Amino acid sequence: MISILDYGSGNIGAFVNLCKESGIDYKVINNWKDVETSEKLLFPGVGAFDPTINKLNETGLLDSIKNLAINKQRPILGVCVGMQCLLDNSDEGKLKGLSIINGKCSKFDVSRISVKPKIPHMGWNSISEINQNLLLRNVNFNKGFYFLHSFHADNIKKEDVVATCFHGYEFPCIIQRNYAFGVQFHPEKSLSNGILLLTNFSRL
Amino acid sequence: MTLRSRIAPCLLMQDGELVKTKKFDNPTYIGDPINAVRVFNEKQVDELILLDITSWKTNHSIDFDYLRSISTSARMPLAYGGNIKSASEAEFLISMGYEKIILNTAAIDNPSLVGEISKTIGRQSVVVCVDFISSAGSWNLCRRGVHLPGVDIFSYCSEMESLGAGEILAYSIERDGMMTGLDLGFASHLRKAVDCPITICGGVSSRDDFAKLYNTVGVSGIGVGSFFLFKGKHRAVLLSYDNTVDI
Repeated sequence: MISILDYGSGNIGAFVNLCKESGIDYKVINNWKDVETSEKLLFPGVGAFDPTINKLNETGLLDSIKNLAINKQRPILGVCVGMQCLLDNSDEGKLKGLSIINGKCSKFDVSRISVKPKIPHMGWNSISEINQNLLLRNVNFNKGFYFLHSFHADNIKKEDVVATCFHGYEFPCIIQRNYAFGVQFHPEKSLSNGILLLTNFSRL
Repeated sequence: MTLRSRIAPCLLMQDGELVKTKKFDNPTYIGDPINAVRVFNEKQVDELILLDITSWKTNHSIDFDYLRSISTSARMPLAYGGNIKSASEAEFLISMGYEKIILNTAAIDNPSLVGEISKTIGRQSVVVCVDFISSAGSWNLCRRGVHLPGVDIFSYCSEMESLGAGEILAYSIERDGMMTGLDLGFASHLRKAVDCPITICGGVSSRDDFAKLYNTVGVSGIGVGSFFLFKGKHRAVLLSYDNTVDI
């Protein structure tokens, strides 16, 4: 059962629909008690870094998510800004991330992107699998996923990088530490690949 | 493989119905927006652009409930524009499931709103739309269909990017609904003026137009109206989709 965290950010409706249509067991939760008892947590997020961290603080969820990931070692999937929140910090904001996966979030280095469009990184792009992973079973890497972001995971330990994407340079687009996963793209808007990824997550 | 072009049906809404205009005028009824979204779901479109043009005449407020019913049906990335005037409205739309919000008149009237919204929801979700017409070898920015004198449209776009726009959507008024091809000259100038993603809309008549635009500006977005809405010379309504870019 995937617990979809509704804390005021992220496309909950799209994830619910995806789970319904794919036969994935889910429930929508919004408080720290439900986080603490989650079997698996889906942590969506859209928008900017600081407002997202603030929302987690306001709803008292920050510590529960950390506890679930680090102490209870339950699978967590951070999506887009949700992934960025799993890191230590972000160029986009002043607040601290959850530090569930070490690394930072950096703005795309436009000096390394030689062809326009530069930022944000917007649209369908292919991915490259760096470390074989159950999350990517049957996923079509060439088709890839839908991306929409100006910041990306950076300074990630080599063993924590599951997949990269190329936009001017290779950047980590799927990261993992123990059972905490982060994906930079939007699986809920990435058609069959998104469905596969979420199905794989549900089966961990 | 790298980033691909984004081919997006561009749907115009008026009083809760889908319409199609010619040169931003004479709206004809197309159908129900939610049905159209469902059809385009099946066709697995790259993105969908939804523009509410009702406010042109009546300055009405956004029907969030209705927009929510659209976004919950959508499997594709969605951009919405139409009478957005505040950061809280923009934030609310994002929380409802729209990936991007589109500012048009509001960006012209109140440029600081672009930065304000961008700080709240992130620049990746902020699109500034410019309606344009060609004139004497150049192009003019229009506000609600009326030419704005003394504004260099490309400087305006560049300024919008500096203020926080993550994408520029450029809509040709004279080619709207005419299927006479995209304005490649404009597109070329726009590509030089900004670094962010650009989307060109107005005039697509066949998928050859996708390749022509790619050859002119590289990877970009393409907003498509009539070509995906009608079939045949009698313009019977039949929704279609094709995102083949023959390079």
